[in-house]
Amino acid sequence: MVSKSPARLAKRTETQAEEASIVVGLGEIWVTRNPKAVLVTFGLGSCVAVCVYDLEVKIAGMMHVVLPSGNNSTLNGRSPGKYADSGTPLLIQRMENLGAARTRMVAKIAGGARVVHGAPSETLMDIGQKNVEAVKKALEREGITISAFDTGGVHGRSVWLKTGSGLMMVRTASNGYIQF
Amino acid sequence: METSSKDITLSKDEMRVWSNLAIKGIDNAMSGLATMVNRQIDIRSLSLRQVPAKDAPAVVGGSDKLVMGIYLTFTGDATGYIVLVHPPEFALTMIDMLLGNNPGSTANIHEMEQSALAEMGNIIGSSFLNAIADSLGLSLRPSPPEVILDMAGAILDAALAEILQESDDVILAETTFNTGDRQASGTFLVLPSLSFLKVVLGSAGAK
Repeated sequence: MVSKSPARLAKRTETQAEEASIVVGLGEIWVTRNPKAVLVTFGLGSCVAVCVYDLEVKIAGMMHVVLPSGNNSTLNGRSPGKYADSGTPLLIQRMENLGAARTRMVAKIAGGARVVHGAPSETLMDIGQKNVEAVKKALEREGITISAFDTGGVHGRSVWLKTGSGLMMVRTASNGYIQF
Repeated sequence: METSSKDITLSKDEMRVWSNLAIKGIDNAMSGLATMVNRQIDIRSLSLRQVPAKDAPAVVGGSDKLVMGIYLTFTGDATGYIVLVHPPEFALTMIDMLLGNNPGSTANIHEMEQSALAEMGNIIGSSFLNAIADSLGLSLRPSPPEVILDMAGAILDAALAEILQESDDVILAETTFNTGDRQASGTFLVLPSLSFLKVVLGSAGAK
């Protein structure tokens, strides 16, 4: 077994203080209280990035939603943010665990495009729009306001959230960057 | 690998059965393409493996990479997606070949170029499905293809959403191919859902 050398530990602390990108993969939830951290998710199609932040304590979280509802199926821990309905309370709870307050939380969402038109089943038809609706409902249930959104359309998106400022940046394959 | 009861888990035997079928399908797809462009198509690599769904876009160069995707859904005894992914510059070379143009003459993708790519997707997708359907006595009907230029992750999202309804892992069949004399290559991805695999393995076992 390799033990962590002091040099390696020092390096880790250093990068934490610098601007660190945290990539949020399909179905993942990430929360951070590093004010320099940038949460990012690449290439969203029908998926939705749910960005939530508390500016006072500089805590932010991002969730990469794939489907609207798990219909109460049990989550197996690997993709806690897969479903809008069960993932949203988890995201909020994890941020609260870090010290964020629900009353100060603000949400911004992006994604839910219709990149592909055909679907092999009714459930998957226009899944992007269904995801957006489910995310909006879930945030409303948690009492969190959405202050900006960039959803729908037919193009993929990459989404960045800056913990320190709560700025959300969206890039599409066709248009460059837009800030929210 | 961490697994749970909800994940796709294929036994060694099942994986072998699926591999044989997928390879049969891919062979048929590539010879269909060879006939269409009247050229030899070389399969450069063929890989069947299980990866976490979130890692699937990495197979085609990363989630935010701009790619030309040709997308088919299929219905019938089972449903699923077939996706062909090309870097945009290789898509142009493929179009030259498909339309019988001199190399390097296609610079933009308009309606005609798009339908050439769609036709290629049609040939590859239906040849693949036919090989599997015929050997198992199933009916699998492909949809008309959609041709999309977008980020790889965005193109794969719909297919991954179907699979993620049932599992956090995907079993993908990845083929990269090129032509003997021209530098064109593409990735042909088959992303079977758990229900598709169940139907296919069920029929294969019944034989």
